Amino acid sequence: MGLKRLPDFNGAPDTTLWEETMKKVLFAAVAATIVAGAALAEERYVMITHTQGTDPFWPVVEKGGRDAAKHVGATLEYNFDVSGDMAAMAKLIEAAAATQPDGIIVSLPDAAALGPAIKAAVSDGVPVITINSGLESSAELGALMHVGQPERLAGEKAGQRAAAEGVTNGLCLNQESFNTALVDRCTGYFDGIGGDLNMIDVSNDPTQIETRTAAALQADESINGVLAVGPHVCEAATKAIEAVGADVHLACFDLSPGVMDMIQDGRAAFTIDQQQRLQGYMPVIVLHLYNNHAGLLPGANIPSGPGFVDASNAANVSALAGIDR
Amino acid sequence: MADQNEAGRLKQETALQKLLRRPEIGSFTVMLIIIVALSFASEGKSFNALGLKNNIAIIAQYGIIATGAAVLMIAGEFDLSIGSMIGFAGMAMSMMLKWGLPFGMGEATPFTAFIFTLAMTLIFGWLIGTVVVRSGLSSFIVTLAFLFFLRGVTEVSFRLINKSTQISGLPDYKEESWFANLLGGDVFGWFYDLWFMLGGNLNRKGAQWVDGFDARFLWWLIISAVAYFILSRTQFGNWIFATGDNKEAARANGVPVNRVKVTLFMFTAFCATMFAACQVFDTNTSDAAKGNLMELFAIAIAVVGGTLMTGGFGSIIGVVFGAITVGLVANAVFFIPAIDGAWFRVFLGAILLAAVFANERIRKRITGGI
Repeated sequence: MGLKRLPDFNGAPDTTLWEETMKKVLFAAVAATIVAGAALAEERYVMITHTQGTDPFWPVVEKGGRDAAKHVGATLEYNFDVSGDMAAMAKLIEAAAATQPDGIIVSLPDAAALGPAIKAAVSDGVPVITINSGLESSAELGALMHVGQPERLAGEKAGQRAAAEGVTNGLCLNQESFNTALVDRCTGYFDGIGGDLNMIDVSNDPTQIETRTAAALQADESINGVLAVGPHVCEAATKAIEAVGADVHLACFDLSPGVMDMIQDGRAAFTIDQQQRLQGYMPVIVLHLYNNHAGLLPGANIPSGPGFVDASNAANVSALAGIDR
Repeated sequence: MADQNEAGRLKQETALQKLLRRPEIGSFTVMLIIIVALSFASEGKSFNALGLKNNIAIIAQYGIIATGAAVLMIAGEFDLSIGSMIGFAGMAMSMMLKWGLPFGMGEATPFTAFIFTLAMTLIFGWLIGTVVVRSGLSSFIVTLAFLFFLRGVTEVSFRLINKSTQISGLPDYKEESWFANLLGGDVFGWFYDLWFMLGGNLNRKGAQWVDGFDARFLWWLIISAVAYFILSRTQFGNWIFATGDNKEAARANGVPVNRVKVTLFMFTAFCATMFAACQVFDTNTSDAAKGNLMELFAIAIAVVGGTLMTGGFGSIIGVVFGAITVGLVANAVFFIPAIDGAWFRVFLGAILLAAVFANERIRKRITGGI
């Protein structure tokens, strides 16, 4: 800037020649890149989740996605924001869409915050599949489908199985009574066994989970089935059941080492596993089929769960816990 | 009262009047109402063998932290970091038990895990107290900062070292270790044995039902007794009241105000650690949410027990009554099937307000309307 090029009689033709050469080189380079790119036209998918990085749940999803990508010869990029901030996650989705991948797989804990970024990606022609939470807003945002566990259905299956195993009067232990996903599990449970919702707020304090459960079991001695919608609640509830001395069928949600021990020694009947490996694996397969077979797509969302873990498979599931289960 | 002379005031007092002038009378009355109401509403179930044990478990765990909070409030300061300190202590203990002692010092026993944890929490207590007295900032703000800080440290440590924010499936240490049994086992077994011998304490199969109270009951009694003794019988107790009543006057009279406060911040950290230790060795689990909101329960109980928010006034006996009241409300409504358990916070709010009004009237009567 600010420098004027001095006229140079000999220099001018040289400059033109140099520019011509450069143009040719650049053209060749670009052409080579395009050819090489075409030769390596590998499908590329991006997965973005709302983990903060070390929750043992999400590596199972990631591995599911990577395994599926390997099976179909695609690459999978996995990304998350350590802060757990929804605005930061929306930025990740926008950044991923800007790279024009063949598909985006995204968990949807907050449709209001992530919705605009997902809609923008969809309108740019990137197919999106939502996973884990967000079933109710998935279609509305233009996602192809949702892969997750419908909580009410999971509760209902638990209730039906509990009823088949002899439960007539249930009690649902909820550690976060304001969390609609957990309330759905309780509601479904009572749909399954048939009866009005009987849910108590047990708090997250292990001592109070135990004492409140014991109190409720004593208050109504006809209760013969308990559903705990979290693994730590289940571990505390089993102590309450032993203390009260009641003969109660105990069902749980999700896995923990303590719950696996309880199932193996018969203190809990079963636990509901949302099988999150499917939440990583299935979207890659679905996107691959969609992209390569003229929009091939299943007619409905894929429920990844409920899967049951009981005495028959607890040992096998334990061995895979944190890897594929 | 101004027209009465000293002799006249002493002469008029009957035993009943003396009782009514006790600072604890407000919290005692509230407690009595709750106990009676609850016995009727739950058809006695809330005070059967298991009901009593469970209610006392909750009361004791509230009582332990409320004692620390109350003594600190008497000295004129708050500690909002109690809940996060509980979470931190629980995390530290369970992680050492699972992953071994820090700096590669090998396997942890329940005793070493507890001692290392206590050392850390006492250092944090000292740090909080020192920041408060040196900076002159409000303890509300300083401890609020530590509420976030300690909860964050707890979560980050869980994630980095344990890869999961919950530890479960630890062996049952109280079977093997006398020390774990001291914190998480049973106490006062003779009480339930006696009850059984007298024909009660039977479970649904007709055998002896409950073997003893949770160990935290004993710890609560010990901590309360020590706090009561120190407050009412020692020089340090006088220093605490003087510090909370009028800091400058106390300092002018040679009370080491800063030392008193730092010591009491360490005491609340100790109480939080005991809360966590009793829970970890009872349940053999820990998670990042442990102790959440407990600082507010501790303060609520101290207030229900007649401790004054502005310092200089309060009693440990009152805190005991307050812990019983709040503990019962928190737990025992679940004995009444007709009431949704979520109502307990509504009751708690109402009782807190009622108790504060009652205590305020009583305090004015005792202190002559100051």
